[in-house]
Amino acid sequence: MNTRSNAAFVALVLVIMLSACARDERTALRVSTWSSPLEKAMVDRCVALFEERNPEVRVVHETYTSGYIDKILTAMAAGNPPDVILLDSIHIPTFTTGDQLVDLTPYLRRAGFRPELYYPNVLDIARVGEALYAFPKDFTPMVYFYNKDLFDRTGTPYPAFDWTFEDFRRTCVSLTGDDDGDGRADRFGTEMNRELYRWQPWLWSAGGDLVDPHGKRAGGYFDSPASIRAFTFLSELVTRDRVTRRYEALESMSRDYDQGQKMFYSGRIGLFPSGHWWLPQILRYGRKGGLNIGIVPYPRLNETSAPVTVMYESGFAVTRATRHRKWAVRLAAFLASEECQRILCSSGLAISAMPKVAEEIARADISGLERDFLRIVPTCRPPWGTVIPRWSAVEDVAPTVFDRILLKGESPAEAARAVAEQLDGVLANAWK
Amino acid sequence: MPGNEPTLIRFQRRLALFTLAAAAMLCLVSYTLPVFWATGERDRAAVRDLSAWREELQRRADEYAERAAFDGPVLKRDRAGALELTFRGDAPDARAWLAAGAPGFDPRSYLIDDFPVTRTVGGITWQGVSALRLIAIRGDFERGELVIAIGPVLRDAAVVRPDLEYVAYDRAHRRLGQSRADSEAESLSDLIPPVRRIMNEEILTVELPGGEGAFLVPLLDADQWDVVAYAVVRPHAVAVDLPHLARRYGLALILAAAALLLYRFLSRRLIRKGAAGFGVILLPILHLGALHALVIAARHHFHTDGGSSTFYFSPAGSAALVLTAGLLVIEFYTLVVLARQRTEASLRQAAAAGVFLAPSLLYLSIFFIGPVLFALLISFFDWDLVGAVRNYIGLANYLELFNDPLFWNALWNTLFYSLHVPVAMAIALAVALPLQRTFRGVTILRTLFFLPYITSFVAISTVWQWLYNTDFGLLNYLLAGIGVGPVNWLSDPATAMPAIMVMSIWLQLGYMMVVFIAGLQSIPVHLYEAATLDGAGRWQQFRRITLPLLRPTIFFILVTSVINSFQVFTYVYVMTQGGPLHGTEVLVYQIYRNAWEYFRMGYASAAAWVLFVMVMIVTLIQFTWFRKRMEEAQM
Repeated sequence: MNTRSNAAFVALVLVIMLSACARDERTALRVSTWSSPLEKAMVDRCVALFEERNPEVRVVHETYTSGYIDKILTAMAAGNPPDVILLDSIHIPTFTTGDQLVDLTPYLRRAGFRPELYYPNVLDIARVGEALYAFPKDFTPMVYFYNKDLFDRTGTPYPAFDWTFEDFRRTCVSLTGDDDGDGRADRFGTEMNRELYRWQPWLWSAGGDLVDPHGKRAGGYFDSPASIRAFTFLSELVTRDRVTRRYEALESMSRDYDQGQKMFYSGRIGLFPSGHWWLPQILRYGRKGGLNIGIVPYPRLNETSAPVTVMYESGFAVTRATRHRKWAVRLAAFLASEECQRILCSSGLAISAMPKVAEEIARADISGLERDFLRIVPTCRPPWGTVIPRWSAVEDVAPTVFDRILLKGESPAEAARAVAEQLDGVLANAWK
Repeated sequence: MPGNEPTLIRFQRRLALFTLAAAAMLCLVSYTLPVFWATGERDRAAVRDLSAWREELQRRADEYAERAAFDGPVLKRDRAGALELTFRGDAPDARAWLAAGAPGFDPRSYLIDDFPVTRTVGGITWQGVSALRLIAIRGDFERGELVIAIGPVLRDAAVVRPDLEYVAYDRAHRRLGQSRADSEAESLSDLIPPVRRIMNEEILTVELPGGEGAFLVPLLDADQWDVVAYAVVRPHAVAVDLPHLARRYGLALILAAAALLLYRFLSRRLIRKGAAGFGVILLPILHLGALHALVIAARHHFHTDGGSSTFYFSPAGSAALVLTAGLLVIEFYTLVVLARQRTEASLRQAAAAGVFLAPSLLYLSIFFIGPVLFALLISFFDWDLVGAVRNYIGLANYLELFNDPLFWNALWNTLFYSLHVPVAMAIALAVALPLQRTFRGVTILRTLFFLPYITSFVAISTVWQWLYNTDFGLLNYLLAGIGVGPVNWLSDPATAMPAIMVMSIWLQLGYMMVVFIAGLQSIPVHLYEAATLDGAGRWQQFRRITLPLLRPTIFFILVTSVINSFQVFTYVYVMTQGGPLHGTEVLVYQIYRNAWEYFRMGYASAAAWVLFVMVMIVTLIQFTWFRKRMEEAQM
């Protein structure tokens, strides 16, 4: 009896174990994103839709809130990357030079992806030559947010879309002032951010550039008279016009931008450079505390020059190691489709890569800010990071031009020359 | 046992030297022989510079694409300089296209002839014509890929590289006589069967003039969606290029020597200390390593074709074999000596010890020793973590590192930062002296001092960042009270590092204090009583009793703190990001940036190893110095 019951018990355990081992016959795909909890729910919705329409496929959504790119890279090094990844435009060279992504061009028709439905300049960001490496999800141009309350309080007219460097300076001077009479300014026109992505448009507007058109050399471009003009203008905002906090006092020496943003919220900084990702947060503050804001493009050099700004895009790419290329490509295309764009862009963090969806959202936006963002889209340029490998190194070195000018007291020309030399070394390494 | 030691050591040293010499000799021989069959440096340059050929190939590929129902072929050049030809398209289209006899596809159009070659070896000039040929075909069925290797061959000789799998043919498609092709397939057709067996259908054979065949095997991907095939062109000519050889294989020899010496050292220890238990664990690991080396070597050395095996010389393979053999001999000899010298009982005891030690040894091997050795390995490569391609670049990372002013800056910053250790120790000792006594509230005081050490370093760094804030920071607020400042603590290159050092002193004070208290409390009280009776003052007691008896504690804190200071990262990462103007960039932060921001894994590993060696040297110096002081004190 005892033996029999033991045998029955073992059989039961085996049955349970075997039933647990029942294989899911569906094709399994993994998609990775860096979503916040809100965005994760939206991606999950899209994934559920995809699974609903393709019952033979099971999709696992992996999301990382930090160290995203490190995790993808280590997964690739381990030979087990996700099938579909959300790819930030500045990481495109990292993956394409390592030949880790599927060129999606041959699959456009079969995946039902229609390029003509997307902003061409946004779509082109993920192109390398003829190859397309990501189906665009969304993008954001860099703009200046301005605090209308501070403008009203100081009697400063709101900036116009076609404003110039000098207009910017005048506006900042008008906004800067000492409220408590202690001889020190309490409110400032703007914030001097040393991060490259925040001042890159200034360089372009002044007619200069970071590197040559091929992205291989900084000498002659970063230290060109036009670039030096931009460095001089921005440095003088700090040293001569004193319309920003002192450079030494900026938290931007490290990663904490909170202080500047808080000062913007509380009406102590008038103009702050940022992207569309700031909008949901700023509108939330606005709703709570009656904060009124507007956006305006980066200023032009003068009346005859064209406005320009930088934009950052993200899209869904398919890794080359996928064993299910067909489904991975279809999933990536689906996540970038009109239906998913509507879901994903409802987070308000970025602008949809499809004009149709972006305009729909703009029409529904009562603040009018979305419409202003769309007005800026034609002036957007992709960042150099979409072309230059090991872009982080450039991003680290380039801002030291302001450290040299504002901390070491070097002239803009000297500083630009020295940094251009360093950049040339970095670029030589990057392209090796 | 000690009586046998000199003989054993001598034997091992001789064996190591002999093994090294044999490895070097074999490497030399294995290189010299094939050189006569190899193309020269110029040839290699010609192959490397395939731009004209590439354009031609692309042109033909474009023509082909227009005619075929495929989307390809597409030609790409990978980072290693290889050319890759991809065929891709709808599977039904491919089937239809194949059924129609593959119109428009002529493999011959992908072959380029006539690379004139002149080379001089040993004063003899060889002339010939190099050609790029379809020379091998290999399917990677897991990835659904077909690899067709196209490589340079000479008209009258072939490039012999045993580590590449290919068959060499001359321009008339005749198999070359005195080449590795001896053991390879008689013709390309012989390569079909394994492919046919696996694919079982849809193999297209295109007849080439001369009776040879070329093949297009449409392989479907896992989704049966794509047809993918690759033609890979690798510039693989070999030249008599001694610096190149030295760069490439010098390392292998150095590693072999290092491994032998390490092994010798270990085995000596094993015998001297009688810790055979380690041997029981270590030896199987070495066995596994040796076995692995043998497998690698075998893959390079033997090519099985129809049951017959042929041995080929290959520098890397030869070195691996010789190294393996050397290790096995030393190992065997060590075991014999151990067995002869020990009783059965003690051996059993040693084996039991080994079993108990096995888990931790395994853990250490996998998570510490393994990664450290892997870091050493990749420090000789240019690897960005992304691609499978790891370009071997020898010592280039180290050379670049030593020529990089930012490295020297980071090294200087690291050394400068470590200067906070003696200051922190002095303060900690000063705090520990009163707190070692028992009085009301001493526990609370000790806890307060110790608290920072167990608090999150990131949180502490953030708090100190605020304390140091130029405009709103508490420090500047207090300084303003006495009319000083404001000081740009973290944004001035001159003050940023001292500011971090001050924070580190504050942070480590508690830990050092606790260790000092433990040391102080272990000093016998009667020594102080005797000194007091002899009329010694407080200062004399401190100098003559406390300090000398505290030396082991001081030594412990100094060594561990200096090692920790060399590894400083968190504060820099949170507070300054290495700025301003690289003023706080320390070595570990630089390693992190190179690895995880610039994806230069090889370069970062080289820096990590330099740091490792540095820490080891500094620790050894400290050990030596303190041992000397201790000996002096005992005298």
